Amino acid sequence: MIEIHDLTVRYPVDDSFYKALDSIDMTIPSGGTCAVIGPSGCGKSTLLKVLAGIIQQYQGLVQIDGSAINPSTQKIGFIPQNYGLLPWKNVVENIRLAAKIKNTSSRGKEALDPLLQLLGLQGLEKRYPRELSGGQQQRVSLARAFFLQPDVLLMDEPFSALDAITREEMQEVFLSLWEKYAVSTVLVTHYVEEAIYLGQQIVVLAANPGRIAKVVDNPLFGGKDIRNQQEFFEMELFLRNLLKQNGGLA
Amino acid sequence: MKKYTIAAYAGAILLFFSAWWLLAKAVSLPIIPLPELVLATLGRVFFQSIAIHGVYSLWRIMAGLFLAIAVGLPLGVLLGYFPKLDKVLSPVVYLTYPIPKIALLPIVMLLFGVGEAAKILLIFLIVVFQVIVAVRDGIRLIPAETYYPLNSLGASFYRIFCDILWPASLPKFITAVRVAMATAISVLFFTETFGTQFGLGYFIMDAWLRVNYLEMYAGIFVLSLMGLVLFGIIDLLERCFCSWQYK
Repeated sequence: MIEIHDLTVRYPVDDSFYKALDSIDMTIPSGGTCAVIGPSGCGKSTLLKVLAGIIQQYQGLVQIDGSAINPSTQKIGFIPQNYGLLPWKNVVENIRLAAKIKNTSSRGKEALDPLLQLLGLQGLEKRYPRELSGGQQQRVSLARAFFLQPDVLLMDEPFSALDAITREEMQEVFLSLWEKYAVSTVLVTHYVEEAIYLGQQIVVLAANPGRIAKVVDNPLFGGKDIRNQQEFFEMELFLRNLLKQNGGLA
Repeated sequence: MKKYTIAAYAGAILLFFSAWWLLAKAVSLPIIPLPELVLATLGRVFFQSIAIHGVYSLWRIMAGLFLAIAVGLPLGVLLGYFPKLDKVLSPVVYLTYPIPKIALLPIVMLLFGVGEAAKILLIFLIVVFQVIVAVRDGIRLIPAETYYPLNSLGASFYRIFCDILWPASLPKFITAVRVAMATAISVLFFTETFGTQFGLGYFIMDAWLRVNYLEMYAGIFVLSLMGLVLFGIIDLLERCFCSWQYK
């Protein structure tokens, strides 16, 4: 479970401070997914960096499974916007990196092979990131995150750089992995549709300073073929209007 | 690709020797002998005298190089990774960097004598700054996002070094060594004209004073060849360890 209570983050700008996030409160149950959506500059990425333990200067309470964020003791899978693959490591080395740092590298081929198969990465093991397409790089970053078997998975605009067809395909891939490994997930996105498709819970942020505008429990999550249903469009319209009221649509 | 590279190099070598040959024919003076005469002399005196001078030169350049890497690499990594340290030490590096180290030769010789130490130290002084600056800049150029996945895993400095700092700065580091190598060989030549009876620099100058131009050219040829081989080795190392760059 991820608990955030009264989280405030300030960045130093010149001589003063810029408030990126203001009194954020939210709870994500274990094994649940939460999509954070909001206009640019609303602190979406900041929120994710706090959860990832990258930003350590904050006020308030942030806990994963009852203890404060600590990257050394918790297993946090973080997929940054550009996928975070190291260009000097090939596909398998990149996938194993997280587990290696966490000293769980004893997980061998028997854990790696099914993941490679599920993500369609067989035959690409020895390739370097720059030899892969955007979609393939995204698959590698997902493989790395899931190979680690993290306590929590964080994704920053995971599918934004992909074309529409690849994006929908990758969203499917993510959901199937998530169902299989049941890991609590927070993802940040600026696509309303993606938030409805991947978020059990949808958090709408408002900008300046970043604060929660609304938390929506998404009844459509996990349904079959929801993209073609009337309720999907209604939900999309509802969220778009919410975003407009809170500082524009990204 | 490989076949083409070999052919291109063979062509360049042919061009070089043709130009030399034409120049020698045109000038027709003992100061520019024909390449075949130089090569014949080289074959005759290589094991007799040049080889031992070559070994001395090679040892000095390698020792200077390794010393420079051993000091410059860790220092460059620290300066690049810890901006606060860089702020303190950068002025020192920048103030000393542009000093022509070769001008320090008299001082270095007075302090360390005319033996091996002074020669190696001078090569070290020339290479070390280039290594420090290149490695530091290489590490500074790493985008902050590159560290995020490792930070979120609570990676130690050792792991960050092995997985990010070292591989990211390696190409810059190798380039710096390559650039510095050319200077180092020139400096080597210069230092070997003082206070020693061994080294290619000594051999070339000695042959010159004896007006033995063929041996002088043989010495220049071997010194150039040494530089070429060192360049080749550096290229090979880069191909080997930075292969991801060429994909």
